[in-house]
Order: sequence, then C-alpha cells, then structure tokens
Amino acid sequence: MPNLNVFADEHILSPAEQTWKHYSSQQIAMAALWALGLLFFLLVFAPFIAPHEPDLRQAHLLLQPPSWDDKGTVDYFLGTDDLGRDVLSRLLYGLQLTFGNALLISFIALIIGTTIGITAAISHGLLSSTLHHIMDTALSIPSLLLAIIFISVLGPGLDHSLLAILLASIPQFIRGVYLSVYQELQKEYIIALKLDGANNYRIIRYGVFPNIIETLVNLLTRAISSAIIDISALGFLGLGAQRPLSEWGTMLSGATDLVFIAPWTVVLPGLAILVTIFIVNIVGESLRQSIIAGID
Amino acid sequence: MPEKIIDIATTTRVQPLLRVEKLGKTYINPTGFFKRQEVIAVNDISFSLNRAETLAIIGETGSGKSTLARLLAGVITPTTGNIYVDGCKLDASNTDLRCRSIRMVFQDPETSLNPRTSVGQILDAPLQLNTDMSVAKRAEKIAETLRLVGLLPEYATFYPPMLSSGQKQRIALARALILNPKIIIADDTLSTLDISLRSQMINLMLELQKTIGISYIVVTHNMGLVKHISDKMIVMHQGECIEQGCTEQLFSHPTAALCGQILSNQYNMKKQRG
Repeated sequence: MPNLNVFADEHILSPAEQTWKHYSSQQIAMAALWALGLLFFLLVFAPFIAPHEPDLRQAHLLLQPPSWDDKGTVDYFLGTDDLGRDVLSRLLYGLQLTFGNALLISFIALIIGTTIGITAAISHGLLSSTLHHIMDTALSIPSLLLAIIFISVLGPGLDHSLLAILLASIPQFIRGVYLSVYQELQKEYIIALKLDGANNYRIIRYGVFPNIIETLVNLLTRAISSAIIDISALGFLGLGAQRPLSEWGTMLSGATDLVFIAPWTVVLPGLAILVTIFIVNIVGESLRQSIIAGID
Repeated sequence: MPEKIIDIATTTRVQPLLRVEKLGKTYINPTGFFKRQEVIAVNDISFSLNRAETLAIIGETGSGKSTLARLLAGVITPTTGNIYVDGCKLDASNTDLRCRSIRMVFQDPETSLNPRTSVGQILDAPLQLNTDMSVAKRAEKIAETLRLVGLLPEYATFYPPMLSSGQKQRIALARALILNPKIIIADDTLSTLDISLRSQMINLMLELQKTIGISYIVVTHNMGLVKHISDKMIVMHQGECIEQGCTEQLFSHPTAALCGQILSNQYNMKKQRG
C-alpha cells in the first residue's frame, strides 16, 4: 500500500519513545538487552530446561569433561563435577539463586529506599536531618562488611545473607534518591508547580519523578551487580548459601581444589557471574545514557 | 499609554486591585550553635496597584527586589505585613485565590519548564488544580491560550527541549495567563532574551494589557524598559523602598539622591552603549 500521508506530519516523541529510539540505535546495548531477555527466560524456565536434577549424584560419572572435549558426552553438556553432578543444570538452578535473588533484593531495596529517600527530601528539620545522618553513618561501612557483621549475629545461611545484603543496599538508594530529589525540588519548575497550587504528591509524581528515573536506573544497576557479587562472595566464603545449593559462589568455592584437574568446574561458574554482571551493567548504563540523551 | 487603559484604571479606582501593607521578610541564619543572625531581605514595603497598570521594581543586585517579587507571588511567606487583592486578604488559607489572581513568570525559561512534561501537561496543571473544567474544555483553553501568546495549538504536544528560548518564554507567559489572572509578576523575565525577542515579548505583554486589562509587576535592571512600559515604580536599596511614585516624575525629578544616582547610572550607561 502506498504511503498516503501527503503532509509530513511529524510525530512528537514522548520521553519514553525518545529513550527507546536512542537505545535501539546502539547495537551493543541491543545485544545486551537480548542477552538480558535470555537470562530472564532461563531464570523463569530453568527447571524445565535443565537436563538433570541439580543434586543428582552419579558415582560413575565423576569429573566428566564438557561435550566439546574428546571424552565428553552431549548428555552432560558442560561436564560434571567431583560428585558427578551436571554442571549445566547446576548453573541454571544457580541463576535463580544468584541472579534471581539479586534482582529480588534490589527491587525491594529500590522500593523501600525510594520511599524513605523521598520522605527525607520533602520533610524538613529534625526528621530530614536524622534520616540523612543515619544513612551517612550506615554508608560509611562497605556493604560486604556490613553483611558479614549481620551474618556473624544471625548465623550463616542464604536467607540471612540475603537479608544482610538487602539491609546493606537500602542506604545507597536512600542517599541517591534523597540527593536527586532534593536537587530537583530546588528547580524553578517545581516552584512554578507549587504556585499552581500542587500538593506534595503531585509535585513528586509529575514534577520530580520523571526527572529522577535516570538516577533510579543508575542506582538499580549498581545495586543488582553489587548484590550478585555480594551473594556469590558470601557463598564463596561459606557465609551465605551452604554446600549442596548450586549458588554460583558456593559452586566456585567447592571447586577451587579441582582447578588443575577439572578447570571447567571453576571457570564456568566464574564466567556465569562475570557475564551476568556485564550484561546488567551494559543494559543499565546504556539505558541511563538514553534517558539523558532525550533532554540534551 | 493608550487612553482606553486610563479609562479602565479610573473607573475602578474605588479600591486598588492590589494593596500591599508594610510587607517585610527577615531571614534567620544560624551562624553557630546558639548564635543567630537576622538578615532583613525586605523591610516595610507598602504600595498599591490598579487594574491595567504596570509597576516596575528596580534597584541594585541584592537590594531585595527579587525577594519582593517572590513574596508577592507566594513563593516565600512574609514575616510581616499583608497583601490584599480586591480588598481580600491573602494568606495560607486562601492559596487558590492567590493562584488565580497573581501568577509569576520566572527569570530563566530554560529552568522554569519541566523538560520531561509536554507543553500541554505544563499548561494543564494549573487548570486541573484550580478549575473544574472538563478535559475537552481544558484542551480548548490551552489551545486558546497558546494562540494568545502567538503560538500554534499544536505546540501542546511538544516538549520544552524542542523549543527555542523565546518560545519557552511564551509558554511560561501562557502558563501565567491561562488562569485569567489579574496580576502577572515578571521577575527579570525579559533580560535573558535577545533584543528582538525582548521587544516581541514586550509588545505581546502590552497588547495583552490593552485587551484583557492585566496588571504587571516587572522586576528589571533595564531602565529603558522601565521607562517604556511602567506607570509606577519602586526603587529599592538594601531591602528598603527609598522612592516610589509615577515613573515619569521619578525619571525627571528623583527626590532621593541615591535614587537619582541609580537611575542616571543605569540609564546613561544604556544610552552610551546603544
């Protein structure tokens, strides 16, 4: 059908459309987005895709090399570990434990942190100052150290490590959101909105929120990647997920003495952590830049 | 000034449109744990303004003229004094009256429009909050107001970063006009624009004054502009009003020595440059 639109009636792009236009023009960013989509797919359908049970031990198949090796078989695509468990299945289930939990924690931290951050920014006096200074104190301790302190009180375990990482990542959100909302509130268009008679909710929803999405994306990206690192680091140290669980850090720590005999048992979980963080960061950073590109 | 305006002004002289009594603002800055320093930004200002008149507030930088404009617009609350519009006192309880009767146009159009909301949304906010018009009526009003400031109704779908600063300033003026206010406060609005845009804006403002009968309060450094558009003026120095009265009279016979100095300094400088 021929184009019947005689008048070049240009469609005005909304900020969201503009962001997408900028984002989709970047090839690396798009590749990372597809990869992230694949990760989500695997995350949800891991139990259906995984060829074996993650804890199925087969004594006759110890340290089977990956399928591309001469001694490997396609049934155990990425080989088996020292207890005869399928590495591919363990990695897929580990995706839920490491990446899934990191996402969950980061979104909970985002919601709690944003709420407190906005409250702190719009309140005055004692409440604002208390929230601000408590968060400053909490922030001065590195998140992993804070998590270790929590675990030393609560005892090791995946649940406890998740709680500890959640509590450690909330202050970062509060601080980031507080700062950007506070800066936004000084802008003249917010004063103009106030003079229109807008209440606090309206000012935050229509005046501030569209302008802090960039900060939120940035904070979320960093929170997800640091949560992945923290979960696997605590697992590696034996403080987080415990042995039979196929959390990636725990898998790594179990395989360190096999590094020369069966390098795939160490390299593959490590690679999984690396690639996941890489993808999250590329998508997050490109998205942030695309959001900014809309207004410059 | 055309005669028509003077007619409107004389018929409504019974009660001034805007009456300001002993308006003052003091800031208290903590300088130590228990020490406080009082800074008087604006002190004891009284004046009145009639319909379709223009008041210019002039003074050096830091003389409190911007603070005065913000006090009148309701951005900051005064520590002393009262503001009356049509004899009705403005305070915290009737913010909607203030919203509808006094509107402000900010200094910099680049920062006074939210870059992430469309022009339509920007103009819709005051209507939504202060009137009970239906969606269709609001859209109609937005289109009408955009035409009034010399833009097309299609601009409602645009976002501020797509517009030039002159267009942005028109949108800012449209936002002030959309509630049919009685008074518009322009805080150094025109100084950021280049000469041709500035004269366009001035003509637009004067045109609106002639047709709708709006009063303006203009804060500016530009003495040529003051002489051109204002009927009354207030000269400020260190938060105090040192001289006020009819513009023509003040320009020709300033009584306070300092006032004469400010006027002649700035006006002559402009003349020499031009």
